[in-house]
Amino acid sequence: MIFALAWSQVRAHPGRLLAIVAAVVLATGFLAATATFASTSDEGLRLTAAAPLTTADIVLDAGDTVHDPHWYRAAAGVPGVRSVDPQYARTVSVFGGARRGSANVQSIPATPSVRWFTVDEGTWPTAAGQVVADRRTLTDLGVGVGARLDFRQGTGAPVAVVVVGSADLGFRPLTGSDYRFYAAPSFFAGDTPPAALLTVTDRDRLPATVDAVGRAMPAGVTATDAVAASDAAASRFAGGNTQLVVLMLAFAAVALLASILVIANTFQVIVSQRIRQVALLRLVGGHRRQVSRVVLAEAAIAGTIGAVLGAVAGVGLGYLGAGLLDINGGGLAINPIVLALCVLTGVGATVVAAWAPARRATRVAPVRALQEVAEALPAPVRGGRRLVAGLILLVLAVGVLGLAAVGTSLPLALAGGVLLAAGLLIALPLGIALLLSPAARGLERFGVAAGLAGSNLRQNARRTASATMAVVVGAALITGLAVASASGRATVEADLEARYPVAAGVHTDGAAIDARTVQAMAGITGLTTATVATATATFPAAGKPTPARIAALPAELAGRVAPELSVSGGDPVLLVPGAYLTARGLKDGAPLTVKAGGRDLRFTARGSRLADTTGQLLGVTSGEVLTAAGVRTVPTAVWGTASSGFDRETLAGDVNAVAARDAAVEVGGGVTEGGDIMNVLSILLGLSLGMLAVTVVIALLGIANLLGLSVIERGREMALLRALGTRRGRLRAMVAVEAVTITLVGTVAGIVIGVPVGLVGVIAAVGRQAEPVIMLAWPQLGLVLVAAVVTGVLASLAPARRATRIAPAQGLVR
Amino acid sequence: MWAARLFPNVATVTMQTKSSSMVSCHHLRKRYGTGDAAVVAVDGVSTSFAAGEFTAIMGPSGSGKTTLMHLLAGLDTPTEGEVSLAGTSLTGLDDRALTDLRRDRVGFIFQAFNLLPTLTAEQNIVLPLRLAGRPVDRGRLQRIAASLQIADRLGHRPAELSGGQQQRVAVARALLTEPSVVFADEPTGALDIATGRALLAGLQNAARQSGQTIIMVTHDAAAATYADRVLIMADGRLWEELRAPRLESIMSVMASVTVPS
Repeated sequence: MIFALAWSQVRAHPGRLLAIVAAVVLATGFLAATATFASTSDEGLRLTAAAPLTTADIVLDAGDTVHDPHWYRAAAGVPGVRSVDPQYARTVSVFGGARRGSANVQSIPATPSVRWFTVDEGTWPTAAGQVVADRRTLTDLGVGVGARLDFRQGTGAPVAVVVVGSADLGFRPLTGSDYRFYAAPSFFAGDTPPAALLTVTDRDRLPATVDAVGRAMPAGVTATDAVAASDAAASRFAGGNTQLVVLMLAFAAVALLASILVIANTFQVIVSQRIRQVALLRLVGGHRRQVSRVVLAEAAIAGTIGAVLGAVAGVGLGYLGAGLLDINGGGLAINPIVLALCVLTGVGATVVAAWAPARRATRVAPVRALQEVAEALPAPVRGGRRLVAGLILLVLAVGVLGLAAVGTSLPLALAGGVLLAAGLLIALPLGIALLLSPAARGLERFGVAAGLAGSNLRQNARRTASATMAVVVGAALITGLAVASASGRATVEADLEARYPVAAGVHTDGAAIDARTVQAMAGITGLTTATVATATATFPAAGKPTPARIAALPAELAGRVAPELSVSGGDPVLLVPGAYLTARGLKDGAPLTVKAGGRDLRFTARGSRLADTTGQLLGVTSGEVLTAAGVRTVPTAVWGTASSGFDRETLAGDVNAVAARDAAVEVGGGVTEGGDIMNVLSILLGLSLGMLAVTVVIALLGIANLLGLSVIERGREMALLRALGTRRGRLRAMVAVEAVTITLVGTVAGIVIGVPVGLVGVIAAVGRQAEPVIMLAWPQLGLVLVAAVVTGVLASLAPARRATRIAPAQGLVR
Repeated sequence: MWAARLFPNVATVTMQTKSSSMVSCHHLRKRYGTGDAAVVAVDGVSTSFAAGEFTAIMGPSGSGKTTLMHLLAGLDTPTEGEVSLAGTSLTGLDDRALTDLRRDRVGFIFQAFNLLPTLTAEQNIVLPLRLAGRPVDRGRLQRIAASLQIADRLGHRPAELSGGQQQRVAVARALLTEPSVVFADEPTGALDIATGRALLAGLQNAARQSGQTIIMVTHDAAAATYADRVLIMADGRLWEELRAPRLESIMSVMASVTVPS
């Protein structure tokens, strides 16, 4: 009966539940998308890890103690073993393409049946100088099949290779090497293979063969069933997508919170509209619990519809996301239990949101069914105790946040954020409701339409306030994220600029640097370069890594980055890494003797970042000192400085492109640092924009719903206004002003809350490592305000149309 | 006419002797507000309503008749005094017990807004039984619906029914649970004369033939003539009690309370 009654309500007024369903769809959709993304990308990554093991029957693993390059050969003699293929792997640096980067080179088994992928274009490699590349690797390097590349392993000499084929492996790992190549075993001549893949003649006797192979192997080698080994490899592979998943979960949590607010508000309105129906239900013998169950059942119905739709949409989106990142190689993977939990969360959130309105419904007296009273009396703004409790929480929260900023403690900042959210949820609706009175008075100055809008907002202050809350939550999070990420970027930039006097540099190991590289570096826009000559030197050993070269700075460069070198009198200054001074137990300014060019040179040692932030550990002194001492120097490095506020990513890309053409150089300087944190901050910024979109949609639905209901309620008032000569346009304007006032009040409150919280977050997160730089992300804040106005106008369109359709005569009849 | 055929068809209602009192109140007082703003809506009313008796409560606007009915039905709590309904004292009953009492022993018919707009006529009629978790006697439902001439309207929603049909659906709902007491608040207020008369005749029969106690609040003296007795209220007190009332006697008493001498 309860369900039938609830269902009849849903069927009679499906439009009313639209906002609820949409809010649940969004919240559940994000949860499901996150779950799908996580499991699909995990599956893809697992598959990647396990792929080489899926074609073999037995896997041999050699431990660190095995040094014989031919340890695997004994396996071929074991009865039942059909083939033995050693598995080699090398990590190399790749040169010659558009970019340079590290690559993983794996061996391709000689036995065709053990190869776990096929070549799409070109041929399998047959000689040492041939490789097959992952399709994406070729795209990233900007080369095709037939290209010539240089591989360099460690500090060894570069080896030329030809790309003879490409394969589409359908994945890109998020971590580890940039590129992937596959070569014939002959490429790895001299290496000790860490593993070998075996096939057997009779799979039914596999366990026995595994044992036999195990016994035939030298100590340190283990033989495993390949199925078990691939499972183990897959489970060892913890995805590199955790950070992204955590961010997406935060996203989903916000969507859930905003949805709960919209749902609660919608139910509040629905219940107050139905007071007489509820009273009738009570009059004919419905218990309080039965009444609240009707509302909760309605919530469950709407929640289930929304959650199921959301889950379906979310699975699609999550898979799409994994596909965009090319980590969906394992196909769609979703844990049905997790998906069911997402749906349950959506339904649960709806029911929880409907709880308070349902309780309110139970307080309707049955006698109200017999009385001719107003359907919904505007509730006066009360609840001083709630306001006080909320304010106390807020004061506490501000205190904790302040402490977090001073103590740069992230856990404390999180605790403060939670307190703040709790305090705001309690106090803010009342605060906004109280604010609406002066706002309404202010609106009266802008003409009749605005005045009427204001008076309506004031009349339904409580309801308006809760609709505003959804906007506040969204706006606060968006601005918090935007400010945090902008300030975070600015902080990291400033910190890197301070710590890395050399923005970008390339250097050789000691050989003269190629003139073309020097030329190319000089050609990079925004970079002021200078060639630095170095000399081999012997520093007193400190146990820690000890510099092995002295850089001789040209006077012009020294003036820009190392003014401390130009001190006259006493021994010449040698800049050394601070860690070296500490390890040697030397004070700043202590004398230090270094052997260079066959003679002892006396220096005054000073700690400087310049000595260890160019990609090499160096002693740094001025060119004249070494020239005067007669030490021969070789130009081995190019250092570049950039004006403050340069585009780090562009510069890094340009320098990388230069380095890609010269296998002899390594990249150093500020551009090599900060990439990871910058990536995270960029994602954060993008996320805040994505969240803006979601919040706009949820707020749009909530406000449109609120206004739609209020237009229905005020049908007679509107008709009367029309009968008295109010034009349609003015009615439309009135509804629009109401909507925009809600979104603007909510957004401004959100910004006021979000900006300081975002700043505290940044200070707490990075304040200990770097001097925080405050950046208010004005473009984003402006965008949020514009979005607020647009959302308000859009939300008012449908209710305004309904308002103008009311015939003037309707105001005169009952 | 539907009402004439209604009550013989209604299945047996637990018969109760006319002498036993189904509803009674003792020194009933109801005050709203406090201090200077206090209004005493019901001021020391004591009376009883026998089983199978049809009583009309009349009085000018503000005389307290509606408040008295609410107090008798347990919809409002008295400031002083006591009400007992079907042998149960309402004093101190919690909401749950009151709800059960309403559901099982009391029926309501009133002027407007009788039905839940989202439910069909049939769903509205069986609502109290479904709320109580009791089975619905389909045969009985069909008989009541047929006698009220709404059998072909059961699948419709209230919005698709005329005012008279809606009122008959509400009557069917009040009768299906075989309540001991039916409270009616201006039941003919929204009906045309013929339909209103038929409804009143039906209520009369419900009292006489099924032994149900009917307590009706009305403004309409003609409607009150269908009752076994008329209680006339003024200023929250019982002013006059008329047995087997005739229109002229009601009119004259009403005139005496409306226009104070």
